[in-house]
Amino acid sequence: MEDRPLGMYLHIPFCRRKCNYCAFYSAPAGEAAWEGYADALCRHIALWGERLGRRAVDTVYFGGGTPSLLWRQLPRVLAELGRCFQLDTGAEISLEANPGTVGREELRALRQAGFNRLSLGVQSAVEGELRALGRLHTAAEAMACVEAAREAGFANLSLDFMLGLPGQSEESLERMEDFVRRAAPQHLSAYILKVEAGTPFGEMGEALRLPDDDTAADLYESCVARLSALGYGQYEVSNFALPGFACRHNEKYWSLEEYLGIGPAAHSLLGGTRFFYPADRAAFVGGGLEQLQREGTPDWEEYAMLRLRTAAGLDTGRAGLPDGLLERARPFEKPGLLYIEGPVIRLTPKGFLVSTPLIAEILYG
Amino acid sequence: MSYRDNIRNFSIIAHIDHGKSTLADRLLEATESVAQREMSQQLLDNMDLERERGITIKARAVKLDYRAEDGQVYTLNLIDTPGHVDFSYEVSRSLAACEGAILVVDATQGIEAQTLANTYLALEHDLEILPVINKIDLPSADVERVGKEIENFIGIDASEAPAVSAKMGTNIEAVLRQIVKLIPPPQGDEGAPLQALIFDSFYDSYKGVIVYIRVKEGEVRPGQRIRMMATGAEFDVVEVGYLRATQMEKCDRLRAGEVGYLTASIKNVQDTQVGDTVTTAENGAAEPLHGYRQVQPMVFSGLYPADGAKYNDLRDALEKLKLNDASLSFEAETSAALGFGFRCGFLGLLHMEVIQERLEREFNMDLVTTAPSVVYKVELTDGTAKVIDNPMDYPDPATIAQAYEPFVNASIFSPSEYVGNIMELCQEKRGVFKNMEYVDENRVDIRYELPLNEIIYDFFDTLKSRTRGYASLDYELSGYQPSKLVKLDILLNGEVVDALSFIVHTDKAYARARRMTEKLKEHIPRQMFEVPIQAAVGGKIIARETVRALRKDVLAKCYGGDITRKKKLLEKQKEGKKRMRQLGSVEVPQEAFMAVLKLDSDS
Repeated sequence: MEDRPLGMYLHIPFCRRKCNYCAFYSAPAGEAAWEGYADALCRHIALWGERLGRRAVDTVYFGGGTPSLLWRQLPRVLAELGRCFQLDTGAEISLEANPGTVGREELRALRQAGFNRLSLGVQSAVEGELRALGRLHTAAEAMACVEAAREAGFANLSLDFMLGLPGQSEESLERMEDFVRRAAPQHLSAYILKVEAGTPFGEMGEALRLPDDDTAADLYESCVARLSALGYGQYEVSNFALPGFACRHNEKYWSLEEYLGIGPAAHSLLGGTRFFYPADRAAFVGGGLEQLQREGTPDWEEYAMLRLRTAAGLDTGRAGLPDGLLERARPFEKPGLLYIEGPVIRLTPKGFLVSTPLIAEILYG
Repeated sequence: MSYRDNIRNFSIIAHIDHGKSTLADRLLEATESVAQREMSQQLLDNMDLERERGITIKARAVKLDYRAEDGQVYTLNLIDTPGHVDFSYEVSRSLAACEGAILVVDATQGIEAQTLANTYLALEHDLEILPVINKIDLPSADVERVGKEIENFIGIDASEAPAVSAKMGTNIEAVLRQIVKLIPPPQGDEGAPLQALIFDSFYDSYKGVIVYIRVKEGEVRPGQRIRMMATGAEFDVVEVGYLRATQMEKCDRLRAGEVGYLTASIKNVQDTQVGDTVTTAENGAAEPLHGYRQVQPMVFSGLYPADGAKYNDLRDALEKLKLNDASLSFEAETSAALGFGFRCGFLGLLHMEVIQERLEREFNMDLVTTAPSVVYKVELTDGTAKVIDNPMDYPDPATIAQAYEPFVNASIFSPSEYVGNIMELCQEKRGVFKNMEYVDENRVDIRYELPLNEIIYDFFDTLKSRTRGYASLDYELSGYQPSKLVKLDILLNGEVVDALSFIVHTDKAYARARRMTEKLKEHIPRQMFEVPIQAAVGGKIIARETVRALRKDVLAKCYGGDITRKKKLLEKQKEGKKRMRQLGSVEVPQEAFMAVLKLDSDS
């Protein structure tokens, strides 16, 4: 069987300090732990390379945590990946970075090691919001980092922003727009804040003074419009890009293409099966592939859900999908929540905003 | 000397929480009817619900052997009665089986509405009333004041009333002594034709219906062919016996004056109506004992399974409950909004709540219920009359010549400082003031005539909250009176939701329409569309609210390729839809139906 190239995700479960909203598997640790962890990553990469027989890889994504903290270690991890897998010459190799953790020299080293896409966690262009989030950088430092990345040779740059922050207003979005104009990234992600249990934000409850749903929805719609005016097309609920710069790695997730996740709490879809490493760094560092946990096989519901979260939408004519999807979607066309073009259902930004119940309506009626 | 001379048949009557069941337990203990180790708290209330709520729902009877100081052994038949206005007919039948009643009054609270109502019932049956002042262990007990209240307001001598603490077991022996001394032994002729009063019955899957009886005349023994005088049903007696605290004790016969049970392979409690007279098929009594009447449900409500597929389960559960509860009635009903369910008739609100809770607990039913309705009568312009227990059946107003609604005579006991609040409440509820009497310097008995319809909308809760919990209420049906009634319909997204319709007095229509629409707005979640909620009388919209369209419900980010969370959300949505009722294009959570039942409770 001729396998299509694989997407590869590598999880870096370290950060300088946990942000107030973050529920991802990540924690502060010393450089010694980083070294040991990089060794473990290399070992697991080799195990997988053996198992998959140097399979072709066309996207690589180092996510976290704050991968940029490990700028000294990551070049050898990437080199190991190149040794054990067949890395396409045009592969998209992304790295998440936090402003303030890396400067020009470090970024140059990373660029030279082969990373060609940098995703910067800017989160906000308003100082008060950054402080409330518990970020360790200012907006000015974020801009300096953008400039450093450009100078280091990163031509494909993505910025992360957050929406629905406590006290956030249109003015905050104007500052974001200014920032985007100046930074001129190729790609943007704008995530609506979700308060997670077990985070400092989660503990705060009512005291957090989040904008109400209507205000948050207004902010989201305004953000979509502003980015669209700057040429960034929305291609998923929270993702925007200049033409040709949609993140190819993420697109694999949303079209049920194969990807392999390495690292604690990393998920994979391979050989028709979903599986993951347990969220346990010690187990990952000390163990091998025996710790993987199966979590089933993708079904049509999963496919339809993921497609409906993209701007390209769901082609209801695709084999394996049940009848009735189009009929159930139709009543939502008039209120402007989606478009139907032939067999394809596409959610509008208004539709994305209510996608949780809307998708259930389309799938189950 | 007759065997009857050593029998005492008595009930215990009390206002709720005055300690009736605790006293009964102590009497059982003191007569060694129950071993200590078998003593679970409040033995006679053996339904969980009864214990939790501190109320008695079913009557029970128990035979106690009491060795008195004179060395003789007396048979004490304690008949425990239900303690709620819903069951006043059942109470009256239990009392009719006795010669005396112990009136338990709380030494900290004094006489309450049900104390008086039950005492009057007992007096109607010529019972010897034995006051007992309970809870003397509490610091705020005032035995003297309560004794005076009993004498002054009820007019019975309380100078000999034992002051007891049923909880601590203090002075229980005095109660037993007085039972023997003051309550007369039963009368009756064991040679006369059989007349036995049915005061309750239970269904047992092995023996069939177990009928609790008080033999008034004659005797009943196994092998006899018996006839239920009201229903005409005939059976062959299989077994008779006494009711002991923890088991049944077979015997050869039950004679005039005795209390016990009989079984006769009876399949259905409908054949053993409370209050009916058992006689022999041959040479039976010429007349039944008086006082029997067919029990009529006072309150109706629709019960629907939350999951439509459970319709048959609900029917089975109702049938099982009916085996033991002749006063429960139900018939199939269909609602466009709620699907297939049952229209059920209850003796009152408590009875309704008890049935609903038992369905939920004992049969694991998840229910949606419609607003309770009383039974209305209408005269139509064509001269015919109609009885309406379901708002869905309410006729076109143009065809109604006159509508009637049921009224009750209510008695409210309260500290006098709340008289103003109580009168205000009763006026709001369309009550007509009848009378007010002082029980003592500080407490009053206020009489109002009130529409039953108003009482079933949380009258009791409001009364309690406006009197800081001090007022007590008792009432009895007084009859039907002409009334101006309208049917109020609720429309969601322009469509009438039949299950939410109710009948209301014209003067109350606007206020209730507003409350109803507001309450629904609170409970209907925002949906993909804007949902107008309207209340209408005869096609005219009198109140409106709008549930605005949902703006935001989205999972913005999941970590990388981990879609478990998105998947779980999807499943939660799917699951959540099951808790929703699809009414046209609107999804209504089941809680919304329940919330409108409690319309006024937080107003």
